[in-house]
Amino acid sequence: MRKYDALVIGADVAGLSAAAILAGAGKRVLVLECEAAPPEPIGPVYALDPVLLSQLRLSARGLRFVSRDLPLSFPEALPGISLGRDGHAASRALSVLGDADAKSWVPFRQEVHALARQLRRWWWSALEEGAADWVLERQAVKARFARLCLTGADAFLAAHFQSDALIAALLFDASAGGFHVSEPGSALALVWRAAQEMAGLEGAAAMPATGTLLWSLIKAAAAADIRCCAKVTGIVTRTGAVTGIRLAAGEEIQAPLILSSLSGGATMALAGAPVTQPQIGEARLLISLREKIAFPPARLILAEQPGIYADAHEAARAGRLAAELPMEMTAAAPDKIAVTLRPVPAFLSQEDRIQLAARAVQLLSRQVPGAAALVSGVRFAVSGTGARATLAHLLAPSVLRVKTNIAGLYLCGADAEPLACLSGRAARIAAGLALRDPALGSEPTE
Amino acid sequence: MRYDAAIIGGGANGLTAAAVLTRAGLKVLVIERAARPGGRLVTDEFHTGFAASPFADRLPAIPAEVTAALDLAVPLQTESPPHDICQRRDGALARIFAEAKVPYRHGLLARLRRALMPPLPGPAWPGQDLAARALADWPGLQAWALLGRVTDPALLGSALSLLALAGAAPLRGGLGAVGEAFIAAAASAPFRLGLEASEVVVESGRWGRRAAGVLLADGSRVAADAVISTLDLKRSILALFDWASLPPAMTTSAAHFRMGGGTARLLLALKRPSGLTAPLLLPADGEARAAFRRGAVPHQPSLLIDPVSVRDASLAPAGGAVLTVTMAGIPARLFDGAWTREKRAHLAAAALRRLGTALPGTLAALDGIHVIVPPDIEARLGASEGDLDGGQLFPDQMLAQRPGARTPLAGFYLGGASTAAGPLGTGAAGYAAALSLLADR
Repeated sequence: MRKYDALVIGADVAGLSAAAILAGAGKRVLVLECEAAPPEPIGPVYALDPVLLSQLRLSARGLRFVSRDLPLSFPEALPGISLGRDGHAASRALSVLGDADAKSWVPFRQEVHALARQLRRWWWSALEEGAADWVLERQAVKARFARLCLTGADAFLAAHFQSDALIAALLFDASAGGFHVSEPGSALALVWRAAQEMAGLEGAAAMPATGTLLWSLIKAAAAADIRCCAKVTGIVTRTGAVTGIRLAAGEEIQAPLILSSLSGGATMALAGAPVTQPQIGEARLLISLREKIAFPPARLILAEQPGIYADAHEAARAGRLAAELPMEMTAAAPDKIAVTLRPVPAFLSQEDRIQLAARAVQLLSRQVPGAAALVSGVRFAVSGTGARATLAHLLAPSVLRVKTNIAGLYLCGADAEPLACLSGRAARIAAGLALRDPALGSEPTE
Repeated sequence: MRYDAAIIGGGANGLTAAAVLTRAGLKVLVIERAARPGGRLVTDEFHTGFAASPFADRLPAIPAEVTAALDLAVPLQTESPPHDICQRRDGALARIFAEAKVPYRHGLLARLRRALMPPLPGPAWPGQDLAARALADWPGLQAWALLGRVTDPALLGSALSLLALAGAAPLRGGLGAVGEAFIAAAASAPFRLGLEASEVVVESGRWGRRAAGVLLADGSRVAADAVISTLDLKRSILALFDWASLPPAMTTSAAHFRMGGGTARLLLALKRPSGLTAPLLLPADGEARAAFRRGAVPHQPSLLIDPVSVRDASLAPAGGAVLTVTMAGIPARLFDGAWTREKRAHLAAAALRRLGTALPGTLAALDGIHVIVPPDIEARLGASEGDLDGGQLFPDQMLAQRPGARTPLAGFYLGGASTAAGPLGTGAAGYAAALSLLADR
């Protein structure tokens, strides 16, 4: 007789979603959180999984959004160019940059979305192992994918557009997941983003109202047990299968299934694999202001030249901060701005953090004059992606990204997605696989 | 799965009980309706960059026995009351803990034995003598003993509130830091967050009825051999049970228990320090007491102004300051309806008027304000009428006159603020409940 069917490491968005699905299926779940309380997520949600949203009834449980379907914008001309879903409106906005770019926008969107439509099969039938084969066996698609697999995102965009400012803004999405923007295959990251935009119920990015995402997930996962201040120090395995976890206090908890919202590298290190230090990460900041400011409902990308991505990437690999960093700003509330910076080193010292915060505030005050004087606090979160995003990773079906080579151990965090995305989709797939895991059926729960 | 104990409420008492029971090897589940454990031990950002603990700034001291049992290491600045008061309080706590360790049997034989040989009345309680004294005899402590309480210091028996003196203040991170220490101590107990306990399940056995688990708001049932409720007496007895399943004496005494309530708080974010370095008390006048009795918003409420960011710099950004204002004698229910936005604004304006007169220039530096009235405390903490003491601290409701940890219902324990240990120390009630549960097993 065992106490728990499944253990979930981390009470973040991914961990709580996975716990909610498993507990909803009548399984006994324990979530282990190393902080004193489930942490509040910072920044926008990318492509929140629509299946998850409806399955967990998050809207009924209090999830509210400050803004949905955030367009990408960049401050080339005042009041800035905003690229939303409406291709013609975007094209009109781009005419400030020149006719050529304005004309290229719609064909570019069509190309990217046509490919993304092929990727949709991965989003919806993610539990099928052969999904990738199905996509790649169609000749027309195969040729286009094959070309993208050899193209860097910067070269792909340069073939379409002339304006550096536009290319630099669009590259921000391609740099997610630790990609080098010139790396062959990074062009596929743009397609992946387009697929997220199509599949996510709230558009590509939406900003939840403060606290409501965490609260609705906690309500959804209310049937699961949560342990706070419980730091996991090891995953116990026997003959290639999971048997439980070990906590910092020396206690061991047995369960046949473990879902980890940590990165793949960190999870495998817990299971005894050699520790691979992630090199590239992204930093998320939440800048609090004393007064409400006018900030457009958009993802404002601040990156002036396409070249700064390569520089920042090389600096991050060397473990330092580049002189200029691409960043994305979104209003989390009328008096709170969420900032995402990448690529940055996966481990940031206190000085680095202060420097990042200072830079973000400086650039914010360039957008909103006088904002620097209003800043009253900055909250920080760094995630190391471990530069796992490779071509193979992008094209692998979700099942393979979620599974590990240890039976019963699944990855459910944002890191199980090739591109940084808080969608909870990996959690849904991992929980779905875990429910089908034969280890569950072998023994009744106490 | 069957737990050895289900604990309702994840505040200091619930966490203490969970920590003690898990250390004794029991399987425990803590049920908390908020998104995070900690109860009143939280620090909230009430205005961007400014944080404060919304419900209180100070705590009754954590009893030494609890600190030792939980290995707590919280840096607290303790303004201890005079030695004789401390001695009475510690004596009362020692007696509660000692009684908790003596097993109590609900069985037929034990009941017969008690009927034939009723227990002899024990010695007087330490601190019982305060029931005949007035708070006015301790002018130096008056401010702290009156903190948010509706007591006339001239009244005989008002000195009892000295036992519940909140003198311990965290040096960093507000009460949330203390909460985290308690959560860390209870790290091996699982929580159910975001879910309210709606009913205690009572089962009839051969030797009488006993608590057998908790029904949760989503309809699921947690089976447990014992239940500890850290809610106050009214909610524990009147809200969690089918009344017919309880001995009538239990429901009647809970119904007759009087809640004190009457605390409202203002959290003020200031652009520059107010110049105040020590807490300042502006006592109530006759008008405020009359307003309380009438159930009206007072024009001249009593204020205790505490410059919390002077002691704990982490609460305010550089250059800023946080002042908390604790008001006593604010009716939980108004004679003319609910606490509307206008009435809150009216109360805040009345308090700020007094504060502005006492501390000139402070209002000009005001950046943000957060108002907490008794219904807010009731809504967020589940404390009936917003009473953080779990009941009025009057002679008929203190020490031996308060409910103990054990109840006439076997397997059901009270570990909340309404018990004898509740107001005396932080976590003390949960500790006593856990000790009783362990002794009775």
